[in-house]
Amino acid sequence: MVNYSYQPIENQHENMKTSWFKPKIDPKLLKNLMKRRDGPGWLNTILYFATLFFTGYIAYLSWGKWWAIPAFFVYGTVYAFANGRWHEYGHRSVFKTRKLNDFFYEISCFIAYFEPVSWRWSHTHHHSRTIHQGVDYEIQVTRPSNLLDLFLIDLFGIKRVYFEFKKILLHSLGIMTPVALDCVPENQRHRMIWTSRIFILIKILVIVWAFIIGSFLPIMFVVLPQMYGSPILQLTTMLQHGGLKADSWDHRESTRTVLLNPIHGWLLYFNMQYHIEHHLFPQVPFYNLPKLHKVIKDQLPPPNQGFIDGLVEMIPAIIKQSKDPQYHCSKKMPV
Amino acid sequence: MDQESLNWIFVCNESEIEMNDLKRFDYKDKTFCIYKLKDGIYATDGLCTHEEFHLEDGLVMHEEIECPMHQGIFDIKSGKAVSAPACVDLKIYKIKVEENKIYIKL
Repeated sequence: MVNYSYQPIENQHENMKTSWFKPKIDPKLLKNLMKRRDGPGWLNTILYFATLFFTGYIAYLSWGKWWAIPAFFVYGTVYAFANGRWHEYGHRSVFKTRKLNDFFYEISCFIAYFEPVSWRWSHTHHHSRTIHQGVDYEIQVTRPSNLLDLFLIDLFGIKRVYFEFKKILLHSLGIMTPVALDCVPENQRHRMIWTSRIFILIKILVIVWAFIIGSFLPIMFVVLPQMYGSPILQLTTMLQHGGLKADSWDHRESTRTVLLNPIHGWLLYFNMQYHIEHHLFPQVPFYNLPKLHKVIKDQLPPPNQGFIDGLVEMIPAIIKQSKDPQYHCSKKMPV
Repeated sequence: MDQESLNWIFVCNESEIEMNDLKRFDYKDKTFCIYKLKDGIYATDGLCTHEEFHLEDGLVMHEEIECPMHQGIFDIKSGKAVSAPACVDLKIYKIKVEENKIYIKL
């Protein structure tokens, strides 16, 4: 069994020699799939933000009427999916132009309630040790699983937003949390502290603005959407690794690919439904993940055929994991 | 053979590396990346300074190498770490090309 007890990054050389499974693929083809272009990134980014503003405008018109509930749910869902988008900009694979990736990374992190510096660094752990307990800070379904948290409290992002806000507040005061101490190099912490302060300041200004104009709307549009708009996002991101094997060095065992419709998958989620492919080759941009999937699918377990199909496989496994932490779905591996 | 020529180690033929691409080169217990850019051949250490993942499958773009694991970026010519999560520069090595043969100075 692999020893995955955490060591500081500078001592991880030996662990990195333990290779992740890699499928066979023509290196030239892989490098072609890795190549970046600005066009697909602009198309997706413009359509996403146009959708966000349009649904926001509809929600604004609905305020005070009964249909404000579905209108804000739709707006909140689109808003919450920034949580799936900071990630792609963070990998700098959306655009060829690096500054564009970095600019939209900061914007998406703010929308997603993430502090950009600490998340850029903690996400490296997620890729180095995907779902390795005690090392990966992005394990959504802990063992044993907490069903109340997963399917009620965090279905509305309550615990997630609370812990993110608490972490950002502590960092803004210069108090280092475990994730900062483990993941963020000392020379980057100054920047992390200041981005945390700016984040807190903007949220406070929005709340003050709401008080000044005597309206709850600014809070509905900027502070709360990550909560009331969270359910579909929560279930979608849970599909990435939920109910699967922990502490594996084979992403085919710990990660799930699910086929989603273009609005859910391409527009909102940056094709992260091709999650095995993303973990195998994180440099491949979102618009080439479907092509990568076609090339290597014979070496991967069959993908789940839709959102519901994924949930049907995942939810019973997570329920079993609440009593048996060792339980996991066994994916059918190609021979 | 003098000491100077002993330090130059044959890597490969120049034609074995495509333009704006790289080739891994292992020598004794060390590993390197040899790059072909428009204005010449360059060499760096092979392992990313962030988590020592090998750069051989990395992407060469804008005269920079991007680590395939976490997308840390280094300037190929200077070895300078230009983008997080890479913070420590890569070591660079002298290269010479003679009669289509690439040599690295170690």
